[in-house]
Amino acid sequence: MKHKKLLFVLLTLSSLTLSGCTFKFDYNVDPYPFDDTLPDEDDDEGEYNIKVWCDKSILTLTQTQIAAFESLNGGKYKLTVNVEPESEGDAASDMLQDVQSGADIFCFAQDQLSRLKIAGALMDITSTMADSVKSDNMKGAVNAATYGGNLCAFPMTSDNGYFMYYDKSVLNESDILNMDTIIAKCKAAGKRINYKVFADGFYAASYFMATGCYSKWSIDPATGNFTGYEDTYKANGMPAMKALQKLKASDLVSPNDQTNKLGDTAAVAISGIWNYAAAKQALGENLGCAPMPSFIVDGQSYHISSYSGFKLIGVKPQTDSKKASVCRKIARYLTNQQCQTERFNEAGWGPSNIAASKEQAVLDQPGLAALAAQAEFANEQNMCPGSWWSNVATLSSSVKADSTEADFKNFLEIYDSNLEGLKDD
Amino acid sequence: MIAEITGLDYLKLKKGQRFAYKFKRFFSLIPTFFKNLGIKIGLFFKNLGLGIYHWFKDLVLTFIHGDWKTKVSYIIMGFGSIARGQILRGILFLGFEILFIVYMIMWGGYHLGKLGSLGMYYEATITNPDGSVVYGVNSFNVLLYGVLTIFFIIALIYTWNLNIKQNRINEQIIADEKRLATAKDDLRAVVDKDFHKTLLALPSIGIFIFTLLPIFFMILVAFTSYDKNHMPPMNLFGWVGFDNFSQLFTWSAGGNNFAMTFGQILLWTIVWAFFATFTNYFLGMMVAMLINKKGIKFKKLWRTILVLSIAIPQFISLLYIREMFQTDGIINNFIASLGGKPIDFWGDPWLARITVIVINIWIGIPYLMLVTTGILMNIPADLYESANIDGASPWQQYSKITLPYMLFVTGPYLLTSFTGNMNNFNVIYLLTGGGPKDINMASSANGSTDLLITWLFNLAVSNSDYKLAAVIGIMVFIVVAILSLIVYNLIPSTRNEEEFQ
Repeated sequence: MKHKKLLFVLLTLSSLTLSGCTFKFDYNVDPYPFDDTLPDEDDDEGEYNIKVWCDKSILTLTQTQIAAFESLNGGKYKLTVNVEPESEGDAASDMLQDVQSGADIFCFAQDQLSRLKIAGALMDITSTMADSVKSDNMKGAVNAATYGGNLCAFPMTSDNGYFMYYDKSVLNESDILNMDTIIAKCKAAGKRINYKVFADGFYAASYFMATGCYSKWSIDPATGNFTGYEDTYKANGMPAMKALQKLKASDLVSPNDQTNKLGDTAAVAISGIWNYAAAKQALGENLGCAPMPSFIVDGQSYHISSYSGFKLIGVKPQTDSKKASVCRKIARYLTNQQCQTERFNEAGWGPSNIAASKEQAVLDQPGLAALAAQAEFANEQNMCPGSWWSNVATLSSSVKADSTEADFKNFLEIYDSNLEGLKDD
Repeated sequence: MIAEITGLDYLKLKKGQRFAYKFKRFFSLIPTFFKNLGIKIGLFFKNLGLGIYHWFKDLVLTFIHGDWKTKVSYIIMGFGSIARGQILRGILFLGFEILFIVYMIMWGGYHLGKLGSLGMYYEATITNPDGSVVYGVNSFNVLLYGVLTIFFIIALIYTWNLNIKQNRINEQIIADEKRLATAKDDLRAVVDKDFHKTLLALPSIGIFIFTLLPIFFMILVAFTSYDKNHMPPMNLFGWVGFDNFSQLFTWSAGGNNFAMTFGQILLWTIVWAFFATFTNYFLGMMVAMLINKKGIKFKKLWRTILVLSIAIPQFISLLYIREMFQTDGIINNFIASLGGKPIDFWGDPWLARITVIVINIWIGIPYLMLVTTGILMNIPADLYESANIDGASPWQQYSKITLPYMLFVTGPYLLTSFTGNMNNFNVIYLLTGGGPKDINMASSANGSTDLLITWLFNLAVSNSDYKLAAVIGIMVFIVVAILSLIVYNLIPSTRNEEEFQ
């Protein structure tokens, strides 16, 4: 017992002394900034061990594609590739747990870009390569892969946004244009609307963006800190709040994005292409895919907005500059037209490559067609503090069937007053 | 200080007077409590000082009076043992010293040296113009191995001291002309006299690596700037003293008012722990009493039905229940089929709070029923018989016989389940995920059913805010420790049984 006490005292003392000495540095001095004008190396032949993370649905395909890359280069590279399954949503958190033992090449969803970049898990792309990436891919996809003016990831898909799935036996093509009609028809049929609008900022923002709300955050690329914001939710959010109230009062909304209950309990699901297979299985011939509907408030009609979303491939900074070069080349290859088309054929992923997205098969896919039709109402996701999403979700979830206009005003005030504090988040 | 009165005088008091007496007594004892605490702390430091003084005195005296073998042992550990023929012990001491030196040269020295700063800015990872990187100091590893090294140094000091003590004892044994223990004796002792040490060696090492080291590491993280902007290996983090604690306790305007968020979550955590513990306890006891009652048929059947819910892993039943209470779940479908309006169980803050407590009752009752059944059957039946003869009502029997008995036996259980509920991650996280969001909460990052532990989880996993998560971890410990100590001193079980009877 005595030993334990002594040990504890020693450790407490040591921790106090250590913590008492406060050292504060400017951690953000970058003495050797990345020079992206250098061309990629050509003399990078050799043997490399490369670890890749991608979704399990394209695991085998990715192995095949990297093998094709190897044989294309005619023995220049001897690659030992280890492809591991990792969903795009988890890639960032797993990467950040231990960058040094994370994958060299990994797929991730665009909203993780700033987190990965700040933590140093993403290598910038050289300018020569960046030029071709920019010209090959959709503008939104390129923006999504850009941080602080530098391209730091390769766009892989442009299908990470959401649109409307509906049951053709409940709703016809003119019904789906208006939310009020959808609510009335669903109510009559006893079917629900699967829509995370009251639970998730990614979906909640769709109503607000429709009425002209936006939230733009300026960021200091060196530190990754948010320096300021321009936010119009308080100014333009009132019609959206009223429309949300109508939706809330209908008691039809289920807070999920699942499509497997279509035809059973639900007639409408707001979801993305990742749920297409489940929707097709649930509804078969009755499956309809459409852009988001409109809502009418005070006599004015607003088309519900959405976010366009992209999946990206990132390359981790490497200690060996030759390996860095090879990894960039592989990532570039994996995101070219051919590989994106193969991914569409295998897993139904919508290409971000312009040429690939114009192929007939892609245009004929109903989900991707609905996304394309929604594109003019969709917004790119800007860099914003992680807690901003909670702030929007909180705003929409506070809407109750019996809320008054004064309540809405108050909610928008609270939302607005929270913004300043989010900057340090 | 109010006058102490005898038990007999106390019994003469009326109800109100008894309460007033207890109330006054409680507050009059507070100064004494702090006085005693002060004395205890003073004594502890006095003993500690004396201990260190005696330790040093022994060391110096042993050096002065010891022979040359002992003196050399101060530098070369185990030398004295080897020179006196205890080869095995000597080699073990020497081996440990060599291991320590090698460790310090290879890893320890580096990490210990960097522990003061956790890496300077010029030691950070640099990116070359061609995009490749040269990894610099990894603050995380420095902190982890630095702590390990400190433990290692403590272990060395302990072993070194043991080695000196060994010399002293051996000199004494030789002076007394007795026989020194041989290697054979030592080996035999490992499986005989010192068998407890052999058995405990592996568990102790396990506890050290998997419990102690992480706890100290986590405590230290609370004093650093480790968050998403200071993430190794690309960025460094450093010591910031008590900045993180002051962040948690500073009142600030806007969405990052951690003080208010902490207060709100702490309040709900305590409310939740209170209801989750006591609703389960009393309802579980009631169910057990119902089933135990004479005249109830199929006792085993009822118990089996209740126990069935334990047979399913808790996280599965929790996830399933969450789905049942969704707006399109089975409960709302049932309400709709009766013509009612659906109830948004998870969407309304107060409804969600009540729902988690009610669901927790459903999960907890079977356990409590099992625990209390056995105890209830052990209450001597003659107590009830004589109570019946004296004309006691069922409520009197319950409140004067059953409840005191139960509280006496299950007091410690109540305490552990209270602290367990404060950290009940499963029920909250699987049912609501901390939600729903409430615009009236101070921070939009947490929901209205978030406990401190789920808040900590969100901070660490979603926001990578490790420093604040560590601070909250420490706060949770402090809150739980204080509550436990108070309650532990109040429950009857800590007094002896005669007093209870």
